[in-house]
Amino acid sequence: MERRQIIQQAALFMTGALILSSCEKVIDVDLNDSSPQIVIEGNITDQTGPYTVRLSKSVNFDELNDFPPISGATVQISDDAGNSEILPETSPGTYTTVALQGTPGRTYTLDVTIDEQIYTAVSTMPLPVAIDTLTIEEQSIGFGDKTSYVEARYKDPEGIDNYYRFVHLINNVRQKDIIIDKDWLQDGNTIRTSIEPDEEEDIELKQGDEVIVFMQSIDEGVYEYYRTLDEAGGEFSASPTNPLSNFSGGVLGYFSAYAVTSKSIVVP
Amino acid sequence: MKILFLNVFQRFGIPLGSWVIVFMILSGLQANGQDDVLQGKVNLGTKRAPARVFLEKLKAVEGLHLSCNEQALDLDKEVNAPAEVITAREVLDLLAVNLNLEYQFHGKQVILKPKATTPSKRRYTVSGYVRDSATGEELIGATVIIPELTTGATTNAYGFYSVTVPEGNYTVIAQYMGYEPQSFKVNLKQNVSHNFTLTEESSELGEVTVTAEKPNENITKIQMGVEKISMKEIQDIPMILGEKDVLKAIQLRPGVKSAGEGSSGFFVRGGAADQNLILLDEATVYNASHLLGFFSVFNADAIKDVELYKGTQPAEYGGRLASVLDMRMNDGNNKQFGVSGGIGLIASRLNVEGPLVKDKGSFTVSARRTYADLFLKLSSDDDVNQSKLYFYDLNAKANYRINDRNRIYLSGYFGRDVFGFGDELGFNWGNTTGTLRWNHLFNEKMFSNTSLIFSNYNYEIDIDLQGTEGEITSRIQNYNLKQDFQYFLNTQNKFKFGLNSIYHKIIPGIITLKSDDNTNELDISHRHAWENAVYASHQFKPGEALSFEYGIRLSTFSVLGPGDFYSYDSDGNATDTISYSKGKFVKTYFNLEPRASISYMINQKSSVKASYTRNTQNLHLLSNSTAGNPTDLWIPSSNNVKPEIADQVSLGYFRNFNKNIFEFSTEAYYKYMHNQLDYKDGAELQFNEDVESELLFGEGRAYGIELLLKKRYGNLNGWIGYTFSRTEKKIAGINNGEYYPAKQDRMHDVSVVGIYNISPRLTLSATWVYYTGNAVTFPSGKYEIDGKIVNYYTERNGYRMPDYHRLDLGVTWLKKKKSQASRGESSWTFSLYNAYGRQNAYIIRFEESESDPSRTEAVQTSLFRWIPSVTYNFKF
Repeated sequence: MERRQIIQQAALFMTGALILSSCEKVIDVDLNDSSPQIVIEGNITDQTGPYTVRLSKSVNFDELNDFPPISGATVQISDDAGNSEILPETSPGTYTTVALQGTPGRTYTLDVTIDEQIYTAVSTMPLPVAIDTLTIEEQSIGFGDKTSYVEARYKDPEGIDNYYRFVHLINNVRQKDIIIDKDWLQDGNTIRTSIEPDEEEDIELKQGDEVIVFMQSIDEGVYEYYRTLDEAGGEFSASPTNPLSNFSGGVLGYFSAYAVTSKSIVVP
Repeated sequence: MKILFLNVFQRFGIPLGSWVIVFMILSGLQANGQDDVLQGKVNLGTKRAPARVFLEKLKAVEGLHLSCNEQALDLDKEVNAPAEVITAREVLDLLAVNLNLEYQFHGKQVILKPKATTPSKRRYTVSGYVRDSATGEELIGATVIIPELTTGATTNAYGFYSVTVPEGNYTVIAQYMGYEPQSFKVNLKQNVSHNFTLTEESSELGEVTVTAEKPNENITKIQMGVEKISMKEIQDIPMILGEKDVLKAIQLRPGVKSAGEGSSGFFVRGGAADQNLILLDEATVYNASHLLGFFSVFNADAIKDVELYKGTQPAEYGGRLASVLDMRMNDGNNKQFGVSGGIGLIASRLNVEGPLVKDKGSFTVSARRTYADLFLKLSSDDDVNQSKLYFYDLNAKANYRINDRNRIYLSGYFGRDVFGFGDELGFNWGNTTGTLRWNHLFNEKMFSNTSLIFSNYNYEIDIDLQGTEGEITSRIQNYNLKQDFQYFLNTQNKFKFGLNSIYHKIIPGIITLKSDDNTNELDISHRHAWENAVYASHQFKPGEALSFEYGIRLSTFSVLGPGDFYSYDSDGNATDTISYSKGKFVKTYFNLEPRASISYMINQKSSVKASYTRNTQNLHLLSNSTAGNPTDLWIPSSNNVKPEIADQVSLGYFRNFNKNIFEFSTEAYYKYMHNQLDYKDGAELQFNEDVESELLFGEGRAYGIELLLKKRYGNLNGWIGYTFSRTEKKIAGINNGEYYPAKQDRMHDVSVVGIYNISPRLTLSATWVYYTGNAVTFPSGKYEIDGKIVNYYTERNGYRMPDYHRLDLGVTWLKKKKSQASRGESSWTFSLYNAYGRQNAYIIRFEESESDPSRTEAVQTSLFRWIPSVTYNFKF
């Protein structure tokens, strides 16, 4: 969640409390079908390669969670220093780089051609930012219950807009929820971002758990994608929409060029 | 013989005057003989009939010898008598007035003949106030009629009426729902001031005179599209958690939809929640919800009168497109002190009122508070026992009648919702309003009211949670000078004119974020605006059947500095920033808002009405949710945001049955709206200096038909209402620029309310509501990103929530009743919300299935099933 959302969510804390007194049940909803949409996930980092681009299709809501890969597409990544590479398909729907090395400061362009249509996204890799410390904090959730979470502290570079994405693993299991932050009203300060276990998964940090945190420095376009991807869950808004992709051409997905640092901590 | 004498002497030029005197003396001598007969009672058998029927009744009176030239008279003319049994003299006067006759006594004969010359009749005014006899409260919208002339008036918002008619003998009757009518006779030869004091109807069973005809104001009044909510009705209808609520009662009327389970927000004729102007003693209330909507901010104890105009508001109102909810506070009992209140499961109320100077001035103070948080203090957990969760409301009013022509009022409302969780989170919000008013009577025809009004809504958030430490504050305020004149020329013509000048100030958000190193602040550009309106309207009743009201309102809205104003390109990038200094005009919008309505009475039982209104709106609420949050932002019109405009036409048919005991009405409307707002995909509406770049503009249209069958009298009363409606928007950038349903579009809406007085002490009530779901966006597909399943959306608002229905039951037991011996009253009310416990959908989420990870599913969350409550009310 991002900071602005924390404030909004906190303000709506009461709804959460009241919904405790409510009931949930699975229901049948008659949903329309949609034609399969192209989904592109592309990443390039400042770590040693290879990097992957995954192409898949969307399915109807009532179908199995089996997303058909797209084979035979032409996938090309180029940078603003004159380098460029066409990624071969290493497994159905997955295209992997061979020699390309991601460098902070460069602007990368991903061109995907499927059925003679080109879809393009541009992302600039920011400079990496280091995590200063990871600490385990406690948050009380009422009625004597407390929950633990990890807090990352890092010094934000002053004078530029910085956007961050956090990916964390608990005991080597990657957590799926989206944690992003930016230096809004915090430029040049030591920012504290809380990294909580996925609410959906009902996971609690126990003594001895190892948490590895990767902090990605991303650009604005990727940040906007993840912000709106989170909101597409539909809980906050009565009229959810598809996330703001940084691709042209009306495809789903994103292309992210990011620099990453990491740290780990064991729960005492 | 006498007439012959008269003519002879006229020819001789002797002044007629002296003969008139002789004539009068002679007729006076003669009249004695007729007097006894004329005092005798005549049973007319009906209150309304053609003149010939009454004439026949008169002719049948024993000892009365009537003579008239019937051919010369319009005996088919419908005549209204003040009562079914009146004296013969009164019947004579009645016929004389209606057929334009004069009568003379000629020996034992009474001769009726047309008035020889009709000297221009002088007109005089009967005026005054209609009040409750027990408390002195002025009654708003009471009718004052003169049946002999089939004409009358209604009292205005301050209980004042003025009726100007030709001189003559009349009965003037004042009536108001729930009170015994009162009449007085007047021989109108000069202006008369008369105040009515009405007593409440006794609720003894069996005394309810079902046989007598009930008033038919819904047929006669010009205004259509208006719902008047009686405070008695609000007392009887069962409501969630036992709290009597004005806004919840309004949601049960046709054309008004609730914004969702437990919400205080409402939609009128397809309009959005911010398109309703909510007024409390003329002050705007920006957020009418407590505890996220389960209660409104209006304590029913303090409210006297509630009227909802469904877009058909007359020229004296303006500022919002869909409706005006005009609420007036009680003035306070000016005869004796009284305390009343109630203790409920969630909140308790106390009301204290009494005279400041007996019969001249009074005050009233009403307070209400919840106490859910008192239970939190019992917890051993520090975070919990330091937590706060409460709201309070305080309504206060004082008034003083300086003299017969001047009266002043001071009223205010203060309310707050407070939520705090340990040290980590503090959140409070609320409204403050204040109104100072001066009623002035220039003369018995010209009423004036001057008001100075202040209104403020703000919220504050204090947060120290998960690495975020800071404060946020936001507010919207206005200062308002309002002047209204009402000129009651005569019963055919009433003029209203006036002006309203409002200064708005909005602080969209001051955000302070702290970190270990320093504190940074963001103060989003404050907004200032000056809104003005002048209006004039004329209510014209040329005859008995036809009446018109037409008027015009000229409104202006000026955006003022200081501040930075931006222009944006289509991608939302700021292309231009212009700074304006304090008081400079950035942009001014002018709008002309014509209003017209016409009412035609087909007969005493039915009428048709039609109206056209144009409304504009210059304050817009940006909200991501359907019902609204306390942190939603109000923005004024600007160089980027144009005023919203709505044109509404409506047509209605009104019909009463069974001596006006049953009222049936149907109204159809069509509304077209300009400059409607919607948001770009992924719009950031909060704490965004460039929030105007996130907006999309377009058109809207709404249409529908409302049916209502109401029974207001008898031991079983209530109503059944049904509304069919559609409301759509067409916005460039959404749905390919095609019409799509607005979020609040709900096709069918049914409300059934029944109140049954089993005995004088026991009342049962039931409410059943049913509505088809509002428009929502559901996914039409799914895909995978980073190992997570993501919903894919196609059409905006292309789906519907499931149907909603619910039954509420209530029982009120009047434990102790008002009597001669003691004023004390107490009652217990038990209610059950959602009596059959239906799980109505509040939110539907689409997510990975818990039981089968290879699939996704829809999960519905519903809020309330059976919710019982008990309330104890007292009054003394």
